[in-house]
Amino acid sequence: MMLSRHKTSALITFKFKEILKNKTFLVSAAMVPGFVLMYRFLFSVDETMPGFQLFLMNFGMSYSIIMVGMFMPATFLAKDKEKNTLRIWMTSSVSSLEYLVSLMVPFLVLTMLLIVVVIGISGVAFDSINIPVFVLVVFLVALTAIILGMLIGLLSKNQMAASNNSILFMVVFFLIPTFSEMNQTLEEISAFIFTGVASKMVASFGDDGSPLILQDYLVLIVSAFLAVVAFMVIYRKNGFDKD
Amino acid sequence: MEELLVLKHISKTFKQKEALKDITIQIKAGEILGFLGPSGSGKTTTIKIVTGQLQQTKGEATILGTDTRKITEKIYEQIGIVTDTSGVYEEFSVYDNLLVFAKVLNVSPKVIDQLLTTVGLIEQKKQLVSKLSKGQKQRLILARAVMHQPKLLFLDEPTSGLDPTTAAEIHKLLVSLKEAGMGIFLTTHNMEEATKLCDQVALLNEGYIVEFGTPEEICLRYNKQKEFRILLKNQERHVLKETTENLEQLSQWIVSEQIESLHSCEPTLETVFMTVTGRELV
Repeated sequence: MMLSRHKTSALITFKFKEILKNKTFLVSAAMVPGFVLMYRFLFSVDETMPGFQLFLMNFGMSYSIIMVGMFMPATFLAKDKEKNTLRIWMTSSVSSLEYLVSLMVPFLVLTMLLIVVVIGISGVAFDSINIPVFVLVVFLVALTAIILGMLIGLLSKNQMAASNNSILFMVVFFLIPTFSEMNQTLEEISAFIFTGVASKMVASFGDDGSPLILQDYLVLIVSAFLAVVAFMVIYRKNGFDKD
Repeated sequence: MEELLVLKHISKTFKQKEALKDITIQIKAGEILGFLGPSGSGKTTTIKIVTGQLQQTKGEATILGTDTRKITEKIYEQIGIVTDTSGVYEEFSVYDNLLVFAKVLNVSPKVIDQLLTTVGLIEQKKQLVSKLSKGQKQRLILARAVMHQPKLLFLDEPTSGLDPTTAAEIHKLLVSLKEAGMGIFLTTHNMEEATKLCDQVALLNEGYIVEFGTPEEICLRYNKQKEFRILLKNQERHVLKETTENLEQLSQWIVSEQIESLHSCEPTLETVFMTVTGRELV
């Protein structure tokens, strides 16, 4: 399937505008730095504790990935279905791939931008971060989350259903990695979750940035692959809008 | 003339229910085909099949020479679709709704103002779509569907729920598009609209085409009573059947200049539909 540059760029620009006009997005995106700042302020006494800034960064990063990277694409795809705007694109000269890319790119950019903001306000020094590893891991994790979000959107009839269907994914992919350091079982499970690998990477910055092991990269690659396969299977079976 | 849409013996079954049975029609350039039938008769299913949103169970359908089961983006570039489920971006202005499609379809944004003038929305150009009335939204959707000057336009109940003035404006636009060579597939349950606009009509009932032809042909086919309604200058009213005796009486009135008005009582598409199916068009 070919990707037309002018169509895709026109759609991406439009989706950016649509996202930035959306109140749910604006509130969700604002909550990420908001919570990080709130935690930092509330627990300022513990700022000297080793790993506190990394905990904040991990929290903010996981929250961005789940709220903006996964939840938002799910509701935006479901909104296009609910408002019958998706059918318009699908019966125009826009291909499914062009539509998907136009939904994926803005959320990928916005998720990564939010994560950069989170690093800045969590107090973690940029020079303590292994930038190439960080960018690669965050890119893969955000991409996987967005594809899963679109899968949720594909399976949901409307925005309300998309929100409900997202809850289980949020519990698994946000809460387990966030609290993995507090419980041995959660830590073991977290090692096999793509967001867990991102959390592990952040934690490793405290140990002089020791890189991830092969298993972690495999988890990321397999997760991304499975998300794409699941999306393709459901898409081929149902299309965007099952009649 | 170029055949834009050809359907041959199309049937569609949903689980146990046969929604369409043996539908055969064609549309040429510069022609309006009316697909008439009550709700649930299969009109929207037909549009979905010919626009590639559904696949037929049996039969062959081609759109612009391509099998409707293999419609590509190239074909979509040459068609326009307006259905009752066509969505708009409510949080964007009228202009922005058209601008994104202009960019995607590679149409100059200069066309937008001209189009908005044609559909009577130029004053609402900067208004949010959420503030528009139903009729205005319908006109915006129509403007979007014809922006790229498609060869074939599908309209599913385009004037349903609109006030008569707005409906008349849309009719005017459709006639001008037809004159410009566009083929139009129009589904409606408004018989007056069909009689006024369509070159050919297909009366659809429970998935079958029960009658096909020009509106005049169909009405004449069912003009079995052949009655005349006469108003004389003395305000007497008469309804006469076509018999030798009555025709003689009629000639006498004409010769003696007693007639104020004279009408033939031909059936309408609505009465034809009721005669054929025994049900009303609602």
